[in-house]
Amino acid sequence: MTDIRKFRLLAILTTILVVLILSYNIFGEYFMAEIGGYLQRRIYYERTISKKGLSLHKGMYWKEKE
Amino acid sequence: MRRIRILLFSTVIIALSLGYFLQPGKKIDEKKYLGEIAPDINFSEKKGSPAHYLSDSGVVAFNTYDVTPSITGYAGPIKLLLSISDKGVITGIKILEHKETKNYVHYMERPEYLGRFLGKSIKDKFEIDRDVDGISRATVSVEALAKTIRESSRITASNVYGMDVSSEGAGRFEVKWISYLLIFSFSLVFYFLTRRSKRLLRARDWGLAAGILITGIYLSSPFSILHVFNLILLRPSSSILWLVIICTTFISLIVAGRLYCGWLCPFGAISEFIGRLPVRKWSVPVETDDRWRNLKYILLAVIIAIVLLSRRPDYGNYETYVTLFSFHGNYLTWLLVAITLIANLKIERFWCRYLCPVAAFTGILSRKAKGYPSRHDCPMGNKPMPMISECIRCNRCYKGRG
Repeated sequence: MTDIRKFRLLAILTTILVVLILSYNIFGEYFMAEIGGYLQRRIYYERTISKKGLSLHKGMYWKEKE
Repeated sequence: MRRIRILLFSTVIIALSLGYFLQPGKKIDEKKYLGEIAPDINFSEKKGSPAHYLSDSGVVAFNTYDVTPSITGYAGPIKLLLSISDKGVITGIKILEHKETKNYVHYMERPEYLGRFLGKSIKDKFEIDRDVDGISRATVSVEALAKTIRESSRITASNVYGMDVSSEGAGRFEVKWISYLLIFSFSLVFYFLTRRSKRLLRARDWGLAAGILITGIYLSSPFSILHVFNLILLRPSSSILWLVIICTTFISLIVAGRLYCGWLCPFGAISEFIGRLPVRKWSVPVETDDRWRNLKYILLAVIIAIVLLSRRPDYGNYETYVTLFSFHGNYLTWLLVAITLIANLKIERFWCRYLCPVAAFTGILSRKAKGYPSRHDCPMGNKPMPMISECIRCNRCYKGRG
């Protein structure tokens, strides 16, 4: 790979990173809490509830009851 | 350069005007939070001067912004809901709103930190690291927080309870702004001296090292584009250090162009020292280099639009030195820090050349100065007659007027 190609790759990579950081700054507080909560529920479902043959929705209801 | 200046100036004007209409000041529902700071107490409606909520048990709650609006942190006032008892003891505290940079104040927002103020007498001095735990790297914000609590509670206690509270306050951290002023003066003096004698250029290295230690690690206050945004949004800080950083940077822009970048910036200093390591550099054609250097102006225009439209300076924060010297960031920001530091091995001052918003800002405000032909060891890798916006005035190539 030539120097110029490596340079372009580096410049593009850092630009994408800056765009991702700015997007995270703007949207992070709105979406990250939702995404985090969903992932937590999903992981709990996959590890525990799905083994009992319940759907995610029913599982959450069952967990609350318990 | 003229086109870039016009583009950025119009972006500021348009975004500022639109932001004014799109983001009117939101009203905080204080009553919602009264139950959080004093769960079992019923408060009256807000009344009196200064405005406060009174309870039957004698506890008073108030929004500190109603009492001491002039006390500001790094980015405007830190609005608190505070409750004090008739014995002059703080019984509840909640941060309602602030615009400080999250990297520095994330610890300050935690309930366990704020909880340390509970039970304190309003007669205490609230001295950082004595009465109140300081947060390293957030001195200005913590000072503002402590001062807001001390002054607002004393004024309220004096007016509501008729208490005679001493006006004795905490001592100021004068050593901080004095140390910044000293390092700035050193840089400015040696900038002019090295224009006369190249033998003194070694002093620049000492200045850069001092910049890393003092401005970066000790003060944790490198000049940031967020300073400029807070100034544009009329949220100046009451901190002397903040004022000194702003004033010295603008003075240096007038008398010595991008002196800050070349002599004071701690991240630029680290980048330059890494770049001096004897590793073969990539050979990038001048045209490609020139084209990519415009990227920092585009990014500056983008963050100007984002910040001024939303009126949230933290939205535009992608600065590596804020992450590095606040010792706080997320995976993305730390990855950017790591890449931009390692990149210096192959491209000198990679961050300063292509991405830094401060470099773009100081570049567009720099005056033309003759005598900088540029040469092979230019830390910015500038071409023989660089645009003034790209010269960091390191004086390695300075040949005098004419």
